[in-house]
Amino acid sequence: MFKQALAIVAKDLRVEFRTRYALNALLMFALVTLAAVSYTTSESSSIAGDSNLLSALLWIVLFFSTMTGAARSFVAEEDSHTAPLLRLAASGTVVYWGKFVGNLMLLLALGVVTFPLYVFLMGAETGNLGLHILGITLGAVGLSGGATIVAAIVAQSAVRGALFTALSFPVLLPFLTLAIQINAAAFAGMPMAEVAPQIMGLVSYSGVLITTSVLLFDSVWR
Amino acid sequence: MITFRTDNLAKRFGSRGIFRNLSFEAHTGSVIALTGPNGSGKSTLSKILMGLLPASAGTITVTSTIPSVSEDSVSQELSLAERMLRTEAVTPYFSLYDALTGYENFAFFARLRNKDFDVKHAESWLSTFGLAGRGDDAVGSYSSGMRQRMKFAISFALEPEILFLDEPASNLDQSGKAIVFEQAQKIKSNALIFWATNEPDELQYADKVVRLV
Repeated sequence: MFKQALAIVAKDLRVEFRTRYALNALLMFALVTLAAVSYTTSESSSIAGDSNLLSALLWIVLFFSTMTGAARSFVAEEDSHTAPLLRLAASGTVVYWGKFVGNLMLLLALGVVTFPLYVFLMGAETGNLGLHILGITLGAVGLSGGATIVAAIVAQSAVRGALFTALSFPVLLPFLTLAIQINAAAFAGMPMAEVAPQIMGLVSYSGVLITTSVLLFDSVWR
Repeated sequence: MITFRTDNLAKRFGSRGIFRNLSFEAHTGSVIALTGPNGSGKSTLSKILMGLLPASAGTITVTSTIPSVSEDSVSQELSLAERMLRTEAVTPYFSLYDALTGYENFAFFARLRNKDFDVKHAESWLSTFGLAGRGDDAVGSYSSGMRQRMKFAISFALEPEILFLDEPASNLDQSGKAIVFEQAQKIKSNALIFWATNEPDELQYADKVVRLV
């Protein structure tokens, strides 16, 4: 199963590098929202010192960029009529893991590009960089886990764009809340121990969501 | 050996019945033609038999029998996942990845089937289907006939135990059709082939005909 899932990851990355559907949409959305946020808040010096607001705005950029790009993972398969052959050739579990890892790599790449730009444009202090990396990584794992199964559901409907964000929001809200708290603590320069419950919460919720998704995915995919 | 058995299979979309009370049995080594006029449900039946669509009623039982020298042969009923693992298909509603080359598509589907990808092996199948030297080109640059040939090359190379051919001659020229019919006869001894068609001259290749009305 591991080799089959890796084959899907490699295929998706290869297709993505050649077509750049998700990557371009995701990066453009992130850049536009980053620019909008930084221009409208540049006059207010208090925002750069408000760790909660800084973290919330960072995750708004990351969340909606994710919604733009992650839906493509299954929509592209349905639109290009490759989904039926993939259904025949691979089990739901294999497809879930393959798409999950692909989405995770895309989100981590987004985080690597977005976070330094965000800190620079907002004129904010980095604070606890290690905690930022942990928060963004755990948030990306959770977002990918949830977005993958929602994207598979939405890809089979007619009104994909609006439905994806609407369906994802309640599933992913706990991640957002916990990730915002972790990155707020990081902007404030707090040590990791201060947000240990939030980190454990994020790990636990990710575990539950991903396990449930793996168990349910065959029904959704078939 | 694969034995495929359907009992009183039926399919409805809402209030519209497509077919009902469809019962037949088929074994490895035979070609089963699924025929009927447009809209009679050939592709729907193919999808149900492949496991891609649920039937409204009836059952499908697929068993694999392993011959034994010392004792009686051993039969095992296959789950849906096991059945799909042994199935390949060439249909108008299946597409390859346009952004990938012929070889990359080949390698991807081989890996999904837990089979090693070998360029020489792939090239020999491409040659068989008249695509020699085109393995490094993106499938998106192929003509519709070449795509159809590539689908055949991949499906036949993966040595399926169950093979679905839905309108196999579509987009093929005369030489393409001849190659497909010849290769289908060659792999028939080790495979059960379902052949959905409404071309009367293709029915000559069938050992059994399932007519839909």
